[in-house]
Amino acid sequence: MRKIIYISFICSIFWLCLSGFYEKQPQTSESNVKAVFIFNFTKYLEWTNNTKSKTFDIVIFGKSDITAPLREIAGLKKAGEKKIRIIEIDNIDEIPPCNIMYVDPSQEKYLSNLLQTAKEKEILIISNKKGYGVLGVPINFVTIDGKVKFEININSIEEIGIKPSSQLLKLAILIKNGKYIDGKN
Amino acid sequence: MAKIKRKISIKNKLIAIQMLTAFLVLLFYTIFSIYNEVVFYEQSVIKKSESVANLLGVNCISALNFLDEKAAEEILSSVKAENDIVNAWIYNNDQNLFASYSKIESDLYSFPYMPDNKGEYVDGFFIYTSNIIQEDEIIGQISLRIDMTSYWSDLSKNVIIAIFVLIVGMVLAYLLSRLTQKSISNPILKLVSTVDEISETGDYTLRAEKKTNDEIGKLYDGFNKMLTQINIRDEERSKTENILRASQASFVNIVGKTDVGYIILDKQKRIQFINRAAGIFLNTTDKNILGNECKYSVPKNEVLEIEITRENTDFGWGEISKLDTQWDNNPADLIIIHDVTERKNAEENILKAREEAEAANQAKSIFLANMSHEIRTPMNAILGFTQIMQRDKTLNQEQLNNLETISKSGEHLLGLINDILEMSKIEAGRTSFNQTCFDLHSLIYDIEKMFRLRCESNKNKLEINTDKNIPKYIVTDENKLRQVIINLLSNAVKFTNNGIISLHVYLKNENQIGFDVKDTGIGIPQHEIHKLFKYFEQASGGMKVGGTGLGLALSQEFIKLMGGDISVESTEGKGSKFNFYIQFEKGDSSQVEKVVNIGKVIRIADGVEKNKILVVDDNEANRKVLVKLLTIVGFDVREAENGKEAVDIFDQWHPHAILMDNVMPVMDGKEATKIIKATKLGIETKIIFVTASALEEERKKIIEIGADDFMRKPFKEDKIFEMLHKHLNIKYIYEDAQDIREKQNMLNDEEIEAILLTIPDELKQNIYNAAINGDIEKLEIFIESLSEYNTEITSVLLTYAKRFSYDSITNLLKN
Repeated sequence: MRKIIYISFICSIFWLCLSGFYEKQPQTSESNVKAVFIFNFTKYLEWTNNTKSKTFDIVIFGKSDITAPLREIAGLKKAGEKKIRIIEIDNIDEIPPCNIMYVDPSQEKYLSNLLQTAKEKEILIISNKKGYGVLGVPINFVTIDGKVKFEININSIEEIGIKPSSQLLKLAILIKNGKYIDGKN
Repeated sequence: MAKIKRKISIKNKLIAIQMLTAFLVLLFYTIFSIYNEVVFYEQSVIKKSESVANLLGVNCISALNFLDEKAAEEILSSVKAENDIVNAWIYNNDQNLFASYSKIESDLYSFPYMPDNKGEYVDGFFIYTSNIIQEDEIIGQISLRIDMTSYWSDLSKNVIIAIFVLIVGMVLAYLLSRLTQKSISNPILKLVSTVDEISETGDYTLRAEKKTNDEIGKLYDGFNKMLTQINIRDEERSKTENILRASQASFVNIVGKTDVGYIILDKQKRIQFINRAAGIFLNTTDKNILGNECKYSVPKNEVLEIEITRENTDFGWGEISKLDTQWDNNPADLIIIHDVTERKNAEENILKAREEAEAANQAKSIFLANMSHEIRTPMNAILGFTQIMQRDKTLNQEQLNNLETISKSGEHLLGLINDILEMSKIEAGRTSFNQTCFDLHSLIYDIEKMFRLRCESNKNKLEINTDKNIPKYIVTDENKLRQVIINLLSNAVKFTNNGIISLHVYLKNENQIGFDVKDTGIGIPQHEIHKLFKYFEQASGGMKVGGTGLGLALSQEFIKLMGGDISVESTEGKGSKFNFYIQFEKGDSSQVEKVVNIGKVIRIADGVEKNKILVVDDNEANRKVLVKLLTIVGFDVREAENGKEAVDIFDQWHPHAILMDNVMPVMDGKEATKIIKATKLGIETKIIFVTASALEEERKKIIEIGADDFMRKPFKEDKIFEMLHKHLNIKYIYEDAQDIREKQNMLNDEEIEAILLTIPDELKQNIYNAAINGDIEKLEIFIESLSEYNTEITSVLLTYAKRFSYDSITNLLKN
């Protein structure tokens, strides 16, 4: 009985937060979708040397609208068995060890450095700018017909040592050897 | 319903049963298979929907995760291969339609979001809904719409097949049952036709032909066995009937020859059979009498006398009785008539003879009554005047002694007469048993007193021994008991000299007292013992001493009356022992009549008013006795010679009491009593009968006509005075001490000495010893026995004794 009351209490809080979130920031629905996508990626990706850390760390580099919804999700959900920790940084030197690093378009100047660091530290870089996928970012958000989609650079993601699931690959715009596969733009 | 059931033939019943069985089995099977089909198909649809929905759902998870509707629709369209699934659609977690599929492009059927997993029918389609779950979280919902048309057509096809199977099965069952029922119904129908034939022809020799050994075969056997038994029974019955007919014929033959009349009536009282004798008794030879109603009605268990006709005489007597019997197997009455004419005549003769004998006996009784009257009447005068003369104080001693002798002889004579009367009463069966309560000890004491002197005069020793457990008061006939004891003791005294006479009274048991009277006298020869208790027979010893020969016979009769018996043992020369016992009941003192005997009456007390006495007697002597006796003591007495005179005097003089004789000329005592008692004054007047009749029944008659009491002649003067005291409450002055003293004074010493000289020395010595010893009982006995010698000296000594003045007695006797 107490459990039921507890669960319903949690659910109602979640519901209130979500509804409040959508009501307050209707303009940021795209950021929300991206935050959800980032969280969902954890289900379809496999980090091979990711057993040391007790938390699943997501770093947000630069000021981004995505931070708030991601924090929201991190407070409610887990990545596998691990708690999700959101870390915001502005300085390239502050990069801590982590699983995912979202690079806001405002920080694109550091991208090539970051990609190098990511390869060494097995960090999945996610960017949000058209054409970055081809440039070598493993996962890049694009908006097509007003809908959020994502590109996966198969060469880049394999370089880091992360295995994407076939289902994820089915839904993604795939890039291999600097080219789009299946004729998709 | 039940009626119809009864009318249906076995054949049809069998078919119906088989058809019903087959129908029920087939129907059950059909219903079961259709139901099974429905359930199975539904289950398979649900299972199929479930697997398809799961497969699609799982595949759509990533599409849902990354909001890729196109990918989802692509996945959904993969169900095209399934012909049944006409629509599919997915809702996302926000309950918005995410993706949909339609088999026909234009059919954009959609169904609202359903909160739970389930399947349901909507408009003939089955809609299955299932949640899409990722990591325990519902992220969407998938629904399938399935077309059931093919299912329904399959089902209806199956139902039609099942019904067809049912119909075919029923037709087959009917044909089969028509075939099989014959094996059961045919033998039964054949049995029925055999039964019909037997009941029509009555031929019990017919048999049913058995073909099988099953239950029906047994039924045939049983039926045939039954027929055999019926056959045997019929034969036996006809045999029995023949025997019965033969025995009835012999019965009629025998009964026809007897002299006893037999009539058999049926329950309607119609004559079914009548034998020759009964025909004679009823005076009919008509054979047509059979069937007529019988004129005699006889109650059961009773014998009636009827008039009958006889062969030789016209008229006779018959005795008729009734018994239950059977005639032609029906209950019937057997009327039996005996000819009792001869017996009846004999009875009449006997009755006549008895009446004659009774008349003769009556004559004897009357003769005896008259005799006793005739003898007693003069005796009354003799004894009465003797008593009056004894009152005369001028008489000298010798004259007084003579009078005493006359008195004693008279009383003895009276005793003999009484014995004879008693005997004749016994013979006539008229002895009465008068039960009273009395003091047995006192009776024995009186008897002892009476015999002590007599024993001593014979130099016999008298031993009287009464056991301590003998009750004081008993109920039986006192006078008869007294008479028996006196009789036995008298005999003992008569036949014993210088011996011992003893009386032993003992309790035999609770209701019987025994008496032993023993003597050491001459005894009775053995051959004479049987004579002892016969009237007028005496043993040889008895003849020597005299007597009537009645005493023992009377005693025996009396003892028998008292419910006992007497026996005797005797040895000649050594003595005899008479033993008897009587029945008794215990009494008590309250039942005892007190007899006051104070002394001789001198005169009536002063102030007595009711003193007018009328004496009625035709015999002058008797009359004079009474008149003189009553006048002496002071009564006012008148006399009448007969009843008529008595009534006249009564009318004028109004006496208080009448002493009435019974048998008188002109008018007898009874008649006079009736007349007097009829008057108002007569009721108050006491009438006392003084009669010589010896018969008890006479006394009853007298009391019945209204007389107040009854006295027997001859009487003692005390009795008369007691009677008048009883009825008129007359008080008397008795001869008291004063008078005795006067008498004593009259006797001077010389006279006393002279009187004492006449008395035996032994008696004087006894009186003297008793006085010295203060033994009052013995003293009184001895003094009373003095009266045999001199009454004056007796009364003098008695007065002293009663005052306990023993000194005076011893002084007188000293010399």
